[in-house]
Amino acid sequence: MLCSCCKKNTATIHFTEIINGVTHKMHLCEQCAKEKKIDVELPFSFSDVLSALSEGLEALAHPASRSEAAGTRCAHCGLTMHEFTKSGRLGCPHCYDAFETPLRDIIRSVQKAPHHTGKVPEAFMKTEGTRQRIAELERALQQAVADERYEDCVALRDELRQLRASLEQHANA
Amino acid sequence: MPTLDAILQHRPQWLVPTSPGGSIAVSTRVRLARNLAGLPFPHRCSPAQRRDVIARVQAAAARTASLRDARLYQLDGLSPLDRQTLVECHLISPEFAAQDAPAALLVTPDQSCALMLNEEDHLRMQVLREELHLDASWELMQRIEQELEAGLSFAFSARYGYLTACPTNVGTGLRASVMLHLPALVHEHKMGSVISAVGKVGIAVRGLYGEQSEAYGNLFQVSNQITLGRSETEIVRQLHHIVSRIIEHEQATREKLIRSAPHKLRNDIGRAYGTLKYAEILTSKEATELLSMLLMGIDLHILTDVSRARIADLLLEIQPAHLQRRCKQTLTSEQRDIARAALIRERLAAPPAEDAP
Repeated sequence: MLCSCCKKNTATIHFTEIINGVTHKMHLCEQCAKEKKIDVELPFSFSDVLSALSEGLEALAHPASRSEAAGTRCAHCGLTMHEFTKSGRLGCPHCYDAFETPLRDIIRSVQKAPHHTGKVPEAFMKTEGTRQRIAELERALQQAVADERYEDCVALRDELRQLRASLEQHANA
Repeated sequence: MPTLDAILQHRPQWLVPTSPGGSIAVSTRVRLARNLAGLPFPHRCSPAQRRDVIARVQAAAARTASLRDARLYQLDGLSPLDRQTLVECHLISPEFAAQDAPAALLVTPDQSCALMLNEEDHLRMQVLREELHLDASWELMQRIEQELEAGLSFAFSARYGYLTACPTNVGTGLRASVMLHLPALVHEHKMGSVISAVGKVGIAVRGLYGEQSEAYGNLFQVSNQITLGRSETEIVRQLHHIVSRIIEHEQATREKLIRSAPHKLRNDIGRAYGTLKYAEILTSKEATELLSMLLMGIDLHILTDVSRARIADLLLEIQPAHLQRRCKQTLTSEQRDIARAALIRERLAAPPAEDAP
């Protein structure tokens, strides 16, 4: 097939253009495509896979709220779900919370695993241990209150106060 | 800022062979992706925030034992030729080389450790070693990360681990890869089955040169794709097992080639040597493929008057930016093909004693 523009070279680029609902089929040679500034390199990238995945998942889960989900915004950096699926990149660490539901499915399908089992930073380990201990003590305190063991309550409250203070210190450091 | 020559005057550590019998594994790379807590990922950072990232990492690196001697190169101080040279040295990615926002490279003098600052993530750290050294490379990478963590706080969540701009890297942020030279498997059309078999367990095989569909030079990067839900040690160990199996497969296929068609194999290697010794014009693709034949000839003791190290060096030096740096001028693609052939003729004519150990 000859190029529909210069009618000399062999057409190697075939594409369909839709303007206002009218379909045009174009067959161009590489040179004419370049002159018309048509991007001949359309690499299939992770973001293509991503948008296909997230659209598919969204449509399955909430057929009505797709456009709404696409507009979800990260409160910290302002990135929208739509921007994420277009670029394949999240905006900041908080995006992992902001887009929790769609990300969970995307991560499960690209990574084949739901959560991290590798190395944990030392600083995180310290604060995480403290957080878990606080949760335990809070449960123990509720139980002590319910059982009317007031001496235990005082001891538990003291320990909780100390742990919360140390966590705050860590956060400010 | 130091000039790039301060780094390039040394032979990179990954090019210095350590096993005397030659190696199907050319080099090993271990990479970690990390982001600083409290900042957007690089593509959403302001220029000031990006400069802050560079300053903070530089300060933290200066206090470590492993990166104390590293040199910092601001990307905007590097010419397009410098950047292309670093891409050819495997020290920066083409995407990193192409950007114009504040970014920097921190690299040790022997090129074994390199940190790209403000690539897709704030830190992309790599350890690059010769041949197959996955455990040692991971150990060094871990040490560097631990030393840096003393001065930097990385974005981390209990569920997803180390947080990265792209969810394909989240969790460990670890990508380990081994570059393999697989001429016999390519010759016997076995690469397709290798690629699909290892793909099933989350290992990718990519050609080093050329597009996926037509890789050339018989050099392949084998790397883990999954970064979440496996420990770093598991990832490294799994890759090691698979790479070792591919190496055995290549070895067995080479032996079969020698047994079944010894004259054909010697002929191919001899013709490659002849072409490289006397050609006047060599494209990158042709030269790489012929040098790959020579490497196999050396491994199989068919070719004995040229050293493996000399061929390994040439594979790096015949690339476009390295050639132009050497000729101290910009060269068109035709001029490069002539300069490339001249360099190869010169190197193959030199007496063996001139080889580096």
